[in-house]
Amino acid sequence: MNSTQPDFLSIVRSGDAAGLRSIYQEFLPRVARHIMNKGGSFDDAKDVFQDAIIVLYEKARQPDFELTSGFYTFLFGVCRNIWGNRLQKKSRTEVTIPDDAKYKSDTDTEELIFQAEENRLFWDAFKKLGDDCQRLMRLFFEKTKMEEITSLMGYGSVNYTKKRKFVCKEQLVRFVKEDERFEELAHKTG
Amino acid sequence: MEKEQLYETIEAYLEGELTGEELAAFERELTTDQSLAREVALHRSLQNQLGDQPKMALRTTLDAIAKDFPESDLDAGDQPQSPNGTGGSTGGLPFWMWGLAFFLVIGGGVTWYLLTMEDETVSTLSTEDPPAEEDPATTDAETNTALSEAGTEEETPAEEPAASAATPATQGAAARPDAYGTNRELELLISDEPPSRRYSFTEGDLTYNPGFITFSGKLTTSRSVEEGFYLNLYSNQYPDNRLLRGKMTFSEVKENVPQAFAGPKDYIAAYTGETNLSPALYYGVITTGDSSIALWVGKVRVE
Repeated sequence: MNSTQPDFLSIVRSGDAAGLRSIYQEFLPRVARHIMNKGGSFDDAKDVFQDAIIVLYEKARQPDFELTSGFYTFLFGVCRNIWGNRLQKKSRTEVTIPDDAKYKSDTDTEELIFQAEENRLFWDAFKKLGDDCQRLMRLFFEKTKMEEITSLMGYGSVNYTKKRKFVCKEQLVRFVKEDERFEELAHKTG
Repeated sequence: MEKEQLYETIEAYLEGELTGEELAAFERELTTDQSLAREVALHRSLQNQLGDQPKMALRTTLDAIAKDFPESDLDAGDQPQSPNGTGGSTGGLPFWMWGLAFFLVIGGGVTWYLLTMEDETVSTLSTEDPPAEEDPATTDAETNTALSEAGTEEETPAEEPAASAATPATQGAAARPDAYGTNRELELLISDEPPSRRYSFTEGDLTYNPGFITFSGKLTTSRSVEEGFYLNLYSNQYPDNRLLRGKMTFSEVKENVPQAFAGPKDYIAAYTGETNLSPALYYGVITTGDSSIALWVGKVRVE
């Protein structure tokens, strides 16, 4: 690998915002051009690009992972696959998939792409929640004790917190289930 | 089963809190009831995905970056370019900031000011960048046209981007005119009264020596320090992304005269973390283990 090149994988692993911004500046335009040529919008491209970064992040978290190809080669391959998956889902009703829209990748990467797609679905649903529910759900998923959540959220009682937690989670589950991608992902896991 | 009760049971099952006959009965039901099995699988996935704090933080950071990545940059991607990333931080406030906002609202505080703060930050931080196009419909169409006119050769990912990949974006911030610019929200936190009466941090001092960031100060509290306190480090450039989070240590300051009642105790609070920082202004924010409320905020200028 070019020794003058920043260690992009380490940037993804560390989550360093300045470094991630440089990855966007360096690579998003090329990925976006590809996706927009394949019928996507700029927003589609940004979503796909972000999901690919999540896949890379998961890869980078594996202790023994090393990039066997260049960073961009890998990133681009993952983006193509994610976009290919989306086209495939659309195609069930409307589109024919271009031959080159789907590329082979190893099963581990395929699994991570699936997880990133699931994560995207949950993340989008999570962001639809109100601020209060988002905070509560974050604390809940981080396994914070109910007593602590009650105090942090300024609620009157643990019982109220439990009630509120149920309401927020029910809303979150509903947003997930209402999303058409949910059935697609369920279909994929069989 | 009532839905609320169902959620409780599923969560208890996933946490391994069901035992004995209760567990056996639930597992029997799982084998026969497909919809229950699917519901359990969904709750498990939600827990795994949304409980993954680093990944959630990464998503938040990436959303903020994507939000202010203009389509006009599409043409510039293949050339080396100076970082224009300082236009950032329009995306959500850091999590602990919402915590503070929430606290102030509860305390009857200055809600209006906090609500308007985000906009002010944008104008503070984005001085280098022209405002992005506000009409996505037209820019979308224009960009598409421009792209197709420019020729739409297939991307060939086989090659690494040439030397252009050595973008200066990760180099020292000294080159940027606002390298030491202050961050409005964080400055406000410094001047504000501490939000917590339970944990009072005073005499805090944040210092940086090459390779190490150090905090020392005093914590006064009548509560236990067992739950853990963390120093979170942010730069003025990208306040929505945490650079570092480390657990602090405490040693109790023993009074000469024993107290009749268990009143507040003083602790020497300390933290040292290994990190290499490029020139900029950095903010240290102390929070408790699970909390998002900033208990102390201080800054250090790294030359």
